[in-house]
Amino acid sequence: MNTAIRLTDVDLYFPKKQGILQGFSDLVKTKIEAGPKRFTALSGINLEVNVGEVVGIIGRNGSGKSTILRAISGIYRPDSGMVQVRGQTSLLAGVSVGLNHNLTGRENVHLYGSILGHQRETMEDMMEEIIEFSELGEFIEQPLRTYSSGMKARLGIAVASAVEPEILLIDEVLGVGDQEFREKSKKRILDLVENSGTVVIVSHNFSLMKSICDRVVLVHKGKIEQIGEPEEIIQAYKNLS
Amino acid sequence: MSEDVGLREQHPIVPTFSGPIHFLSAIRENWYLTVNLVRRDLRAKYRRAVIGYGWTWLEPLLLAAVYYILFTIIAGTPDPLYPLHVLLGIIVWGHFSKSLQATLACLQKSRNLIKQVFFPREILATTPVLTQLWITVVSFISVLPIMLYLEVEFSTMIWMVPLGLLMTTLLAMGIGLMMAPLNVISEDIGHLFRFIVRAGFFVSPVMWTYEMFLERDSTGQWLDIVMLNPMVVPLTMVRHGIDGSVMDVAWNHIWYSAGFSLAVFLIGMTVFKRWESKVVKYL
Repeated sequence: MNTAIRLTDVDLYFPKKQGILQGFSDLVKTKIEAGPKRFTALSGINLEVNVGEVVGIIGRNGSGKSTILRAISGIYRPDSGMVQVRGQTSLLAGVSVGLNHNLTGRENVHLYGSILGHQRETMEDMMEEIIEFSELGEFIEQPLRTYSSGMKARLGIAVASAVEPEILLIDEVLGVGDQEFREKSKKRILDLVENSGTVVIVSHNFSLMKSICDRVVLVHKGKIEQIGEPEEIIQAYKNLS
Repeated sequence: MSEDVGLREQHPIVPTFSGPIHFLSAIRENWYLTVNLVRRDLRAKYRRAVIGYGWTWLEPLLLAAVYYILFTIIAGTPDPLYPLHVLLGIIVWGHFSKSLQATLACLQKSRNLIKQVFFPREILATTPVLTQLWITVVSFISVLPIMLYLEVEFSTMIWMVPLGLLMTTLLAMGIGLMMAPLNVISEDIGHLFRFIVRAGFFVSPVMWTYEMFLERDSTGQWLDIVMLNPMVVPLTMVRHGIDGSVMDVAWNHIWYSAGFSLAVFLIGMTVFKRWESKVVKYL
């Protein structure tokens, strides 16, 4: 089977204190090593995800789940080891971060779409569907500052989930909007999961994990504890506490 | 290893000296995003102002008026074209200082976006400069009434205006790009450059002109030192481009300024490309 994502011996550190001298020396160094002044976010991560697979990542807050997604998507470069991917990745996280208050809903679709790496034609093709899904109607021509927080979240989800990427990375984006919209966006994400080539999802929603994931990874203190069947790993996570 | 075909490294380390090529091709490939971000920034700039875009013209005009009055009181009435020269000086210097400071702070300003979505960070460093360039070009409209009043007409020398602006832009962006990663690690860099830009205002021909300097320095002993400042030539070029008079600057000084701006720009792109992925962890 073809590999879609491969992490090989990935270590990733964050600076603990913003020491100026250390910071400047970090820039010049070719290799950054673990040490007391660094927080080890990821340590020796080896993970292989096959094309078409849906993999869940669970773990406590601060265990490194989101950092793994961010290393895969390209935001953080590992300090040692390698991240390889096949095809375009798209990270769904904090869906309103790419939106701007001064632009209209329609302009925001173009802005956020382009931030996610889509081209103008793609966004124009998707526009009607986005407007319909976000249930904004006439409001799409109004500046975003007139929107309620629920409306903003709906627009964000609608844009973020409009185009199916080859590798989809999801970081806890399902809890927005009212009950009805939550159901709708969950269904949308499930469709996306079904249609996307490969999915890595970080969530605390265990029933969702059980229903969609082929495998689940348990991350603890920056290391992979266990990889296996969803049921088994979720149980292992519960035994952690 | 046939299954590895098509796998690409997500964080390839590009050879240092090909940095500028990668930088520019990232901008070209993401032009749609760049344009959208420029539009966003322009919209944000004057959103709550009644005069809106009018401030682009009003600000340099008012500033020029203040400096003109001040200078006339201190130094007596100079050259009749002096008001025009001060206004142009303020527009070009404003372009330099705002472009530089916006590039310098580009990573911090988009901290939240950088941590949530991956896209080439070169774009974040380019959009503030393009935004500022647009504003500067529009603000040149404020020169028209002064030209009309002083009966200055457009001449064939006008080509020096875009060239001077280009040199200013490359210099400001280059310095900003070099310093942007350092500024993430320590915001002292930002404070330091705020000071440098303020000091640069006085040592560059903003309130004075190259010709005024030549008059004072009749022996020419300071000329080479003053011309070390790479902003002297572009400011002088823009002034002569508008008033149509012949620019009497030695070619070696012109080549020096042009080369300096271009070199700073290339080094800036290289440094930025090399360091941006490291400093993201400091955001």
